Amino acid sequence: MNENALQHDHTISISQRRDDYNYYFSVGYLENNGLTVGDRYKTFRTRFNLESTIARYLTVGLNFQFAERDESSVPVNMNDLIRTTPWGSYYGTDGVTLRASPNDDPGNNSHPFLGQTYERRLYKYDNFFASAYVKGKLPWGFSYQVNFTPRLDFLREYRHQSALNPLLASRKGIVNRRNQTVYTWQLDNVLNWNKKYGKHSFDATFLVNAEKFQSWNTNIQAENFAPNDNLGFSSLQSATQAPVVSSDDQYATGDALMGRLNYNYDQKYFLTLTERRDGYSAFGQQNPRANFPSVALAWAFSDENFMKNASSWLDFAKARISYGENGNREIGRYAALSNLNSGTYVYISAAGTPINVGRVAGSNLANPALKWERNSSINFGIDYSILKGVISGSIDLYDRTTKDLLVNRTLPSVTGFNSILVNLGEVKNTGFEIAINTNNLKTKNVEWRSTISLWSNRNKIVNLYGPTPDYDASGKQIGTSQKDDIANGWFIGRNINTVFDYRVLGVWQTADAAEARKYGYKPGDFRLEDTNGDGQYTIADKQFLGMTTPEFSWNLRNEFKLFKSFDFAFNLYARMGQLTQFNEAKNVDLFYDRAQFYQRPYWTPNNPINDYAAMMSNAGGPVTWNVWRKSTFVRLSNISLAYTLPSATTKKWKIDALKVYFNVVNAGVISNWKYFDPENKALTPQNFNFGMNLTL
Amino acid sequence: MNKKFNKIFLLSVILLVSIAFQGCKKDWLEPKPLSIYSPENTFVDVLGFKAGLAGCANNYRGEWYGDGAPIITELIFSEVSVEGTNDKTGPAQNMDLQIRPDANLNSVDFNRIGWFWNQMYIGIRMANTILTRLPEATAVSQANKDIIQGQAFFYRAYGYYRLTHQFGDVPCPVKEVTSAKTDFQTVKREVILTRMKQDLEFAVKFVPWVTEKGDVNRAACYHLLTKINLALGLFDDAIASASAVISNGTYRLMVNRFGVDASRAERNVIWDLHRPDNKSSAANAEGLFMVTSRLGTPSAWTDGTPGMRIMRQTVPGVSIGSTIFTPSGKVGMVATSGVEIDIMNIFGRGIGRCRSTSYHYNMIWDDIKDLRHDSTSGNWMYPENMRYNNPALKGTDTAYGLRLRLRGPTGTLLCEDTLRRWYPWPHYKVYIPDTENTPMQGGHSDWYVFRLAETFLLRAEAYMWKGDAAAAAADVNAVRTRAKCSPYTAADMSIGTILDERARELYWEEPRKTELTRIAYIFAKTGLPYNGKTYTTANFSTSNFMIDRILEKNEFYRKNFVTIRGDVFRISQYHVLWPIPQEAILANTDARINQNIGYSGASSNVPPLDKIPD
Repeated sequence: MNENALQHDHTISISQRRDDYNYYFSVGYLENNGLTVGDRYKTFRTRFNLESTIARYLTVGLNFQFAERDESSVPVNMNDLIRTTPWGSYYGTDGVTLRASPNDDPGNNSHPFLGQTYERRLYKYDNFFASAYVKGKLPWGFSYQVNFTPRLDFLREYRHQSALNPLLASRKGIVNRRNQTVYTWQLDNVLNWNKKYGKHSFDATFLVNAEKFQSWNTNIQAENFAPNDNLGFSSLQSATQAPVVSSDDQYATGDALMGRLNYNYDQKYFLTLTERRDGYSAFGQQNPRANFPSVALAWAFSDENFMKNASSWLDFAKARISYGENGNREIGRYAALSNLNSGTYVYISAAGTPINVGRVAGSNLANPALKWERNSSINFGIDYSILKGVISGSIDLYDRTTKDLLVNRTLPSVTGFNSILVNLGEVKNTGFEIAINTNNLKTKNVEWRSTISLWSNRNKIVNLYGPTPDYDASGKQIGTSQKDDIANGWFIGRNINTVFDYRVLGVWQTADAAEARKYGYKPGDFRLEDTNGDGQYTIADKQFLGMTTPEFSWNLRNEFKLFKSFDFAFNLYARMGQLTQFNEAKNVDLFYDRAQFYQRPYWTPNNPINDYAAMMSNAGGPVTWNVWRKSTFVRLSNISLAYTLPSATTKKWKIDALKVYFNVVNAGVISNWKYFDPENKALTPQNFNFGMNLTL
Repeated sequence: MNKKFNKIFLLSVILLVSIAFQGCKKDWLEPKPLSIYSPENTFVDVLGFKAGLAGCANNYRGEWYGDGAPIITELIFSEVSVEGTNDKTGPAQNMDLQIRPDANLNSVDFNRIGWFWNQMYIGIRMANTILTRLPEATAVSQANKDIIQGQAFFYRAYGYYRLTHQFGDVPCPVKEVTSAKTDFQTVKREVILTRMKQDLEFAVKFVPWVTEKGDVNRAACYHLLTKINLALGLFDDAIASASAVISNGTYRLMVNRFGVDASRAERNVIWDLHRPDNKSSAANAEGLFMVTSRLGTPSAWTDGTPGMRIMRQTVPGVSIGSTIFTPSGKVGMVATSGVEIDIMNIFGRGIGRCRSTSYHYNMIWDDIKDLRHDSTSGNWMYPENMRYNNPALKGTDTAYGLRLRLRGPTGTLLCEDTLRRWYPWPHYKVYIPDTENTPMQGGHSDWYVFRLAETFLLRAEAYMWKGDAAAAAADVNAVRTRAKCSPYTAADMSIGTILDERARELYWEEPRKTELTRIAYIFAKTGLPYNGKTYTTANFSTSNFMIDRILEKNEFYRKNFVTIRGDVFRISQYHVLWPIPQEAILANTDARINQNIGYSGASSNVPPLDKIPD
C-alpha cells in the first residue's frame, strides 16, 4: 500500500521590461502523490509583479501572489495497514462492504481503507501575498523606501465521516468544520544614505518597522444527522445532537527600530555599527522592547604593502572580528499570560434537567516579567582566496553566550502546574565553521568545482537559577550553591541537550534469569546498568550518555560542467555523533500475536541477541528509561544532471533556450542506524525528477 | 516640476515615518488576549467564581471516566479487584517491582498513581486561586462570599483528604502560587487534616443544603467532614457530622422503585438507583455529590474519550483474540457488533482490566436475598450469561447460541485464562448504554461521589470504633434492608463487617484504597486489634491493617498468583502509602519533599513540618 508515486510540476512565466515599467507574470500547477495510497496534494499558484518608474526620482511597485493548496485526499491508514494480516478478509460476509476489521479483532485492527471509503474532505488553503512599495531618491545621497506587505491566509478544513462506516455507525455521521483567516502585515520605512569622500565611503541605513498578526478561527463538530447524513459536511443544521463549537482568535504586534552605519576606507578597513531596538507584544506586560547593539571590524590585509610578496599565491584575505547581540522571541503570543481555559460543565436542576454552566481552569502561570532572550557573540573569521581563485573560503570561530533563555521550567507538580515559561540562566556555545570552495579543474571541456563546509558546536550550561541555600541535616544553613535541574535534564557545566538516562547494557540472557529477576526483569528484557551495584535500579543509576545534537557536521558539493552543455552535480552531507531515541528496540509496539507488524529483529532464547529485546519485553518496570543509539549518517542528498541545448540549435528552432534535466533527491544514505531514516525515523521518499525549461 | 515633486515626496516621507513611529508607542505592544480569560478579569464577580468552582468539579470527575480510569488504581490496592491485563508487562500486578518512585506512575498501561498526585494538586490549586482572590472581589456580597468560600474549602479539603490517604504526609500549599515556587516542604498528615476540618466546619455553616446537582451542597461538606473526623480519630465529631446529614431529612435512602425503568416489574430499586438517567433525577434523594457527564452537552467532549468506557474496564474479556472455545475446540466469540447474537452490544466489549476478586463476587455475599448480588433480575452477571456468538459456528458447531462453558465434557478448560476472561460482575453498576462506541464500551453518565448510603456506613464505623455495636448495626442495616437483606445483629458487627458492606454497596464509587488507608491509620492510632493483631503509627510502613486485610481477602496477592505472561501478583506492607512521584521531588530544587518509607530516596527525608507554611 506504499506506492511509487508520481509528482508533476508545471510553470509558465512571462516577463517584459520597458523603459518606464516592467512586469512578470507566472502560473504554476503542482500535483504530488505521496508514498501512501490516496495521499496526494495539488497546488495552483500565480504571481504578478509590476514596477513602474513614475518620475525620475520615484519608483512604485507591486508584487502579488496567490496560491491554493488542496489536501482533500484521504490516505489509507498506515497503522491499520501494517496490522492487517494476510489471513484477514477485505470484505464482509456479503462480499461488498468493507470488513470493519480484516483480522476480526476490532479492538486491535480496523480496515485501512475505512477512512478513504467513508470519509470526505475539503481541505483547502488559500494564500494572498502582496508587497507594495515606493522607492525614491533624495538629494545628498539619500534614498528612501516604504514597503507595505500584507498577507491573507484562508483555511477551510471540512470533513465528513459517514454513518456507513461500521465503526462509527451508531454516531450517524460526524462532521468537523474549521475555518481560519489569518491577516498579517508589515510596514517598513527605510532611509538610506550612501556617500563617498575620496577613499572614505559611508553607507547608513535607518529602519522603522511595525507588524501586526491577527487570526480568527472557528471550529464546529456535529453528529447524529437526521434524516440522514447524505449531505455530508454541508448541512450542519440537520445534526440532532447539539454541535460542539469553539473559537480561538489571536492578536500580536511587533516593531523595530534600527540604525546601521557601514564605513570603509579604501576597501581595506571596514567598520559596521548597528543598534536595534525590537519590540514584541508577547513580552508586552513589562519588557516589550530590548536593545541589541553590534560592532564589526574587518581588515582586508592582502591589499597591504607588506603582503606584496605573497601576491603570487594570495589573491585576497580579510580578517574579521565582531561583537554582536541579538534577541529571540520564539514564544506563544500569550505565553506570558495566565490563561484561564474556559468551557462548560453540567449541573442538574431541581427538576432534573441538565444546565450547561461556565467553567474555567487555569492552565499556566503568568510571567509578567518575561523578556527577550539575548545572544551575545564574539566572532573571529578570515575570508580568503588563493591561487587565482582555485581555493577560496572562510574560517570562523565563535563564542556565543545566550542569557535569559526562553524555556519551560518544570515545576513541582505540587503547584498544580507542569511548568512555567521563564528566562533561564546562561548557556555558552563555542564552535567553528569552515567553508572551502575549490576550482579543481578548468579546461575547455571540463570544469569541476567543489564546496565543502564543516562545523561543530559545543554548549555548556553556565548558570541556571542562581545560588540557593544549602542546609545540613539539622536544618542549619551551611552555604549556597547552584543546583542542577534534574527534572528538566539541565546540569551546570553540561550540554543543554545532554542525555541523562539509564545505560542499556544489552539483553538479559537465559543464563542471567535469576539475576534479572532481582531487578524485576526476565530474559529477553533489556538489561540496564546498575552503576552503584545496590541490586536495584533507582535514579542514582542514571548517567550521562551523550548528546542529541551532532558532534560534528559537514556538507560537500561537487559540480561539473562537461562539454559546455552538461551540468552534473552531487551533494553529500553528514551529521555525526548524535544520539537518537530507539525505543522501537524494546519490541512493544502492539500485540504481535494479534496483528502483523514490520519485520524487526527480536530476542528469543535461540536468538540471544543483545541489541533488540524479546517481543512484548518489559519496557518500563521499576524505572522509566529510553533506548538510545548513535544515528551518525552520510547522505547523498542530491544528484543532478542537466543538458542545455547549444544556442545555435535553439536559434534555429526560434527559441531562446532549452534545458532538460534529471534529478535524484535523497539518492542514498550510509548509516548504522537500522530503523527507517536516521534523520527522522520515518519513510523518506526518494524522488526522481525529469524536467524541461523552455524560454521563448 | 521635479523640485515640486521632491517636496511632495519629502512630505510624504515625513508623514509615513511618523505613522511608523506610532508602532513604537507603548500601547502598540500591549498584549490583547481575545479568546482566553484571565484570573484578573474572571474572579471578580459571583459568576466568575462559580465558573472556577465548576472547573474544580470537572477536574475531579476524571477519576471515574475514560480508558484505564484512575479509580482502577484505587480498587487494585484493595480486596475487591486486581489488574487483569495479561498480554503485557507494565500493569500494576507485582507492586514490589512496579510501584517505585521512578517508574511510570501515570499511564493506562501501568497505573494512575501519578494522576491522583497531579490532579488532586490541580484541584487544590484551583480552589486556592478562588480562596486567595475572593476577599478582594468587592462586587461579591458577604453572603455570597461565605458560600463560595465554603464550596472552595470543600474542593480543597477533598483534594487533601485523598492525598493524605494515598501518600501520607505531603506538601500543603494553601495560597495561590503566582511564581516558580520550588521550595515546598512536607507537612504532617494530621496537621493538614486538622486545617481541613476547620475549613469544612466553616463550610457547613454557609453552603446551602440544596444546590443544583453537580454543585457542592451542605450535605457533601458534612459527608467529607465525617471522613476527616474519622481520619483524625474524632469519632464523636464524626457521628455528629454524619447525623447532621441523616437527620436533616433532605436526603433519604431510596427504598421504592423510581425513574426510567420503574414500570419494568422484573427490575428493582437497586437497578433504578444506578441507571444513568436516575442518578441526578428529581426523584433521587440519595445522591449527595455527583460528577456529571451528559451525551450531547458540550462538556461531554472534555473527557477526551467518548463515554466512561466502564464496561470495557470491568467486564470479562471474552472476545480478545481467540481465547474462548466451544467444547469442540472452535473459536467461540467474536468482538464484532451487529452479528446475530449481539453480545458486545448487550454487555459491552470488556477487556477484563479491572478484574473482580473472589472477595468481591463471592465471599462477601452472605444473604441470598441481597438485590445487589441478584442474578435473576439481571443485576449480577456470570460468564455463563453470555452465548457463543461467532457467526462461523452457525451450522458447523452445535455450541452456537449456547451458554459459554468454563470446561469441556472431559474437564478441559475452554478459556485461555480465567484471570482476564472468566469472572462474574455487577451489571447494574457498570451497564452504561453507549451510542458512541461500536461495540459498546460504556457511555456517558453522571456518577455518585458521595451517596447517603455511605454516610450511614461512615456513622456505623464511628459507632463501631467507639464500641457501640448496636448503633453500628442499626446504620449498616439501614443500607442492608433497603437491598432486601436480613438485618445484622450487634454480635455480627466489626470493622471488617462494615468494610464488607462498603464493598457490597460502593463498588466503583468509593476510593477503596483511600478508605482502607484511613482505617489503617485509625487502627494504628487507637491500638485496637484486628484479627487479634494491633498496629502502631511508628511502624505504619512495615506493619499495617490495610495490607494485612488485602492479603487476608485478596487471594491473588496472598497466593502470589502468576499470570500466563509470568508476572506475579505481589504487595508489601509499605504499599500502604504510594510513592511520591520522583519528578515532583526533583523539580522541587530548593527544599526536600519527603519520600515514603520503603521507597528509594526515603533515607534523605527531613522531619515533616508541624505547621502549614503561609
